[in-house]
Amino acid sequence: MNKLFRKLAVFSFAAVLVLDASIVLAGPVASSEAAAVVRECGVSASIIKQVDAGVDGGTVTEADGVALLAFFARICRAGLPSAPFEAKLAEGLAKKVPSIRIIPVLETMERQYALAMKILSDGNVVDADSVALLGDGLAKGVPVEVFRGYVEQYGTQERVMFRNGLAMTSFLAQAGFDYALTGNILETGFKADSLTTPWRYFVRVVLLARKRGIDDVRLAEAARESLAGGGSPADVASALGFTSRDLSGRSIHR
Amino acid sequence: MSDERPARMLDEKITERIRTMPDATPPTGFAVRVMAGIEPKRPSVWTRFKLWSTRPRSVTFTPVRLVPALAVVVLLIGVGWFSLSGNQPSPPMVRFMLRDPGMQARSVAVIGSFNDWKAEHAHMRFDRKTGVWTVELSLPPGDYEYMFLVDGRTLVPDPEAPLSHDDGFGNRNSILFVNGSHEQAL
Repeated sequence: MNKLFRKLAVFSFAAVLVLDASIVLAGPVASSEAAAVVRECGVSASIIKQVDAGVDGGTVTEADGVALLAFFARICRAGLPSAPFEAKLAEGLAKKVPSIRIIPVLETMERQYALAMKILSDGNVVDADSVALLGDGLAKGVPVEVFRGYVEQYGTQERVMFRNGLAMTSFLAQAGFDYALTGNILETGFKADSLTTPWRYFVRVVLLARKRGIDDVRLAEAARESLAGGGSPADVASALGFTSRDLSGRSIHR
Repeated sequence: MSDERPARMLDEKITERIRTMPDATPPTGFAVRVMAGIEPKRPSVWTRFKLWSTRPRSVTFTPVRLVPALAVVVLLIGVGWFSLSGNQPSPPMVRFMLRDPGMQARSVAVIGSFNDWKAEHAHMRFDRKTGVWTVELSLPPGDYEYMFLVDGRTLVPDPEAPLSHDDGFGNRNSILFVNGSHEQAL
């Protein structure tokens, strides 16, 4: 019986190795030195596969393919999360952007994520989710001072609420919501211990309220009242007079 | 040939001697003692499993007994499936719409960070009455970027999206926030 299980295990392992090798060693870039470094660092095989597909499709030159893999090896060694960069590469390739224009965009992102890492390190609050949130916010144009201020002020808060507040701050800043108003909302949320996960996307209430002519000051007041009582963004919407259908519907109409 | 003959004669003599020997009754308990002295040999787990699994069996049933048994099996499967899928909230449905009153586009798909920017599973349907391309996708909570891909080559941002940002490649990605199963119309 044990022999049978051992045989099955060895066979499965061999099959996985063969499959993995067929994925990784399929294209022209895959056998390069950069690909070896990327693999050694633990970067997923999907990056190599994507780059190879780009080379095959003609949107990536072989030289750029190797440069892309060298880039991923670098961010891997720097300890930056590879997922946002993989997503940007996939976006560029899907939009048929030539590799010569993808690489500078990735390098800009690299600087923004490295800055995000530094801001969080200075506040002793580094974790993968926060790096991704902050890096994404910087990439979408949120001023660095907003995040520096947030980390300095709330870096000692409980981790989950810290990340919820960070996401809320980033999204509200992307929507042009005044940071002083955001600060008031955060202060109330942390004090009442009520900054739960739905508050990450409070920006959705803000966008809908603006469409209805409700100003940001009134929105911030309603949010503070809701947070003080342990409420949710849905309570803010109700307080501002949104219809029950708006709150309970299951579709977002775009 | 000469060696075989004395041997055969010896065999015959021995056989004859045995045949003419008087019958003797074995002592009481002899068979029991012999059997007790034999070490029992237990087959391996694999041999027993093989024997068990390859031994043919007969099953008899009547329709009167079969129907309730099947009903119980179906009920158990149904309860199991419901308990696995029913308790988990399904991701909210998000409807994407692009107005095209003159039906100038031949095909429209929505591509975004939720589908790796691939159009394969996000082709939109055109409603002639309303002049709108639509598709509904089930998206888990999160923030997403997306664009419409018209006729397989032209990238168009969502004109009704309240937020968008530069994608770095010369386009503007529309931004979408999806919360949990509550407040989806916000």
